Amino acid sequence: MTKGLNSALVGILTVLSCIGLKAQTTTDYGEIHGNIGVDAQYYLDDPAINTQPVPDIFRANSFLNLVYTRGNFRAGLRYEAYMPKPLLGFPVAFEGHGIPFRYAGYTLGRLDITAGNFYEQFGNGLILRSYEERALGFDNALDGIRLKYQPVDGLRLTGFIARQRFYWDFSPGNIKGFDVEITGRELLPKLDWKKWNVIFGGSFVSRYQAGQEIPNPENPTNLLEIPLNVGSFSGRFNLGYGGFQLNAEYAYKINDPNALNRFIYKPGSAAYVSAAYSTKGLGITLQAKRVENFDFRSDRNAQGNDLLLNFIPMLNKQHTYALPASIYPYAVQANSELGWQADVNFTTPKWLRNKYPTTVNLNFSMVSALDTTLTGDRYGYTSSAFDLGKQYYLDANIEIQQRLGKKTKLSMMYMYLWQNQRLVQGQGTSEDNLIAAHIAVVDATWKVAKKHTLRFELQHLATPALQNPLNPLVNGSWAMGLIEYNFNPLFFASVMNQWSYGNPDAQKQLHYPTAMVGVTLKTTRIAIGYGRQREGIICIGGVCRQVPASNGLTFSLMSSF
Amino acid sequence: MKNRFLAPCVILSLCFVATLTSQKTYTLPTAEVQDLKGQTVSTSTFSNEGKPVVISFWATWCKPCIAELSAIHEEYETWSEETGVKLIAVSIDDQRNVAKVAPFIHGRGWNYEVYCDPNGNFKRALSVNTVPHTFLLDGNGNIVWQHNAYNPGDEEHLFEMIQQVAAGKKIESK
Repeated sequence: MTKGLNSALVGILTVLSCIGLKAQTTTDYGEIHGNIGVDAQYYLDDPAINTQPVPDIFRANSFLNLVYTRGNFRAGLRYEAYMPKPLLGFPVAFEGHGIPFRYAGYTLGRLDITAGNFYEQFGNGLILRSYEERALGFDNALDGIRLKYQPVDGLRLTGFIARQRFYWDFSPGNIKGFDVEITGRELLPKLDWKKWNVIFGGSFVSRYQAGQEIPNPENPTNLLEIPLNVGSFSGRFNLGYGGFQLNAEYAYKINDPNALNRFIYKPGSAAYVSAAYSTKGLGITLQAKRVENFDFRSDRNAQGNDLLLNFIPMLNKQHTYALPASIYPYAVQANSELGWQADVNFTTPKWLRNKYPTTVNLNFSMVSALDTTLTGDRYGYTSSAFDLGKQYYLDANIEIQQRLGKKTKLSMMYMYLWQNQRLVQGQGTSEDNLIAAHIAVVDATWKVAKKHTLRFELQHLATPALQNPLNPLVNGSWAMGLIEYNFNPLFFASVMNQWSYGNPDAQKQLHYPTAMVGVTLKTTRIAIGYGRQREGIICIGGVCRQVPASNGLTFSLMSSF
Repeated sequence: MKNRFLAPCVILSLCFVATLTSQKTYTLPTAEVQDLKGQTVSTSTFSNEGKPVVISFWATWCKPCIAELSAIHEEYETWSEETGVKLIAVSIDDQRNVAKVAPFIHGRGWNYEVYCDPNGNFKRALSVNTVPHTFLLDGNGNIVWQHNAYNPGDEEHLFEMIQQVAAGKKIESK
C-alpha cells in the first residue's frame, strides 16, 4: 500500500471512530465497540542466551478493532501496525501499518451477506478454517463475498468466493467454498426424537491458481503438468444419545502437487472421529485421526504458517504450564499422521471424600507417522491404512486439583513425554533424536487475606543429559519457580525463573529470570515486564512459531470497549 | 522518524478517547455458537426471563478460567436462589478441544449453560481479547458490566454487581 493511501485510511478510521464513539450515546445511530492491543519490547544484548543483533531495538505490534452495528447491518475494520518492525519471532513481512481487515454485512431474514473480510470454518476445519491467532502473528482471513442462507429451519447453506490475506497482500489462489448442514431436531421438530440428536454436513472447497513452470524431477527436460484447480470434499455427522456424542468427518483432496509434498500427485485424505460420554461427575473422550498428504493452502508454493486453508486438530493435551508446554511441544504433521487420544475427567463422589472434592484429569495421547513405501513415481509413495510408521510423540499425564481449606487450593501434575525431535521439529540432523522426559508441576494458591492472594508454581523436567545438536540450549533437565501476588481486582506482580541446571554443557546452564507487574482496570490490562526469553517454539491451537532468544523490557496493553 | 510514531500515537489516542467516552451499557451482539450437541444456536436466543445473566468466556486449557468457574460453582446455588442469575459459559476452545468440553464440565459437576465458539464468532463480536472475560447482562439483555482476567476473590465483586442488577439498581462499579 502506498503511504498516501495509508494515511488516508488512518484518517478515515479516526473520523469513523469519532463518529462512532459519539454515536454510542444515541442508539439511533447504532453502536460501535472494539478492542485494542499494544505489545512492545525494548531489546538488550545478551550473548549468553544466544540473542541475535537487533537493529531496531524498540519494536511494537499494535492493533485496533472497530465493530459497528445498527439493526441488521454490521461493519468493521482492523488497523494493524508493526512499527518500526514486528517483534522478534513474528514474520518480517508484517512490517508496516495499514488496514488489512474490513467488512460490511447485512442480515435479511434467512439470508446473511458479508462483503470484505471474514472468518469461516466448515465442520471440524479439515478442509477449511480461516481464523486469527494474534499471539502467533497468524491471520488467514478470507477476503471476498460470503452468503449464508437458511431456506428452512435446520438446513444451513454457506457459500463464498474469496482470496486469502497474505500479510499486506493476497494469496495467488482464488478460493471457492460451499457447505451444507442439516440439523435433525430443527428440520423435523414434530418427530419424537427422545434423547437422540443428529447432524449431517458436507462441504466442498477448491483453489484456482495460475500455472507455473516446475521441472519434472523424473525427466528434468520436461515440465510438470500442474493442476490449476484443486478440489477437496468432506462429509461429516454428529450423532448423540443422552450423554453420548459421536462425531466423525472424512475429507478427500484431489492431486495437489505442492512445495510441502515435493510436488507429488497422490491425492490426500483426512479422517477424524471423536466419541464422548459424560454424566454428572464423569466425562470421557476418545479421539482418533488419520491424515495423509493433507496440507492445503491457497498457494501451492507456500510453506511455514503461510496461507493455510485447513486445520488439522492436534490430538494431544493443550498444556499451559511453562515447562510441559514449551520445552518439547508437538506440532501437527499434516502430510502423515496417525494418532489417538483418551481423556478422562472425574470428581470424587461425596461418599469418598471428607469435605472438598478432588478433581482428576487423566490424559493419554500418541501420534505416529503413517507406514509408507516410496514408489519413486509421480505419486510418491503408498501407505498402509492403519499400520504405524515411526512414532512422533507420546504424552501420558495426570492432573489433580484439590482444595485444602477455605484459603488454600492445590493443583498437581505429572507427565511422561516422549518425542522424536527430529521428525516433529524437522530440522537439521539426519539421525532421530529421541527425547524422554518426566515433568512434575505443583501449583498452590493461598488467599492471605480478603483481596490478597499469593500463588506459587514449582516445575521440574527431568531428562537424560544427552547432547542434542538441534537445540543445544534446551538439552538436559530444567527447574522452574514462580511467585505471583494479586491484589484484587486491580494489581498483580510476579517473578519467575527457569533454570537449565542439567545442561551437559556447563556453559549453557543458564537462568532465565523474568519479573512482571500489571494492573487490570475492568477491561483494560497493562503489564510491564523485564527479563530473559528462552529461544524456542510457542504453539497455540495447532500452529507453532519459532521465537528467538531475547532479553529486555516488555510492555503490553489490552483493552476492549 | 515521523511516520514511525504515527501508529502508536493514533492507537493510544483512540484508546484514550474510547475509554473516556465509551458508554456503560450495550446490547448483546448476535452471533452463531454451538450447543454441546454441535447444533448451531444464535446468541439472540440467550435469555433468563428478565433476570440477570452472566456470560463467561473460558477455555479448557485456561487455568484462571477454570479457577473462576470452580469458585462460582461453589456459590452458584446460593447466587441463583437469591438473584435468579444464570451463568452462560462460552468456551473458545477450537476444534482440537471442542469434543472435550462436555466431558470436562460434566466431569467437574458444573451445571452451567455451556456453548462452544470454536472459530471465535461470538468472541470477536464482543471484542474479547483474552480469556477469562466476564460480562454481566441486566434483565433486558443489555451488557452493564464486564471484566477481564480472574484472580481468586474476584467472584465476590461479581456477586455484588449481580445483586445490584437483580435489585434493579444502576451499576456503580469501582
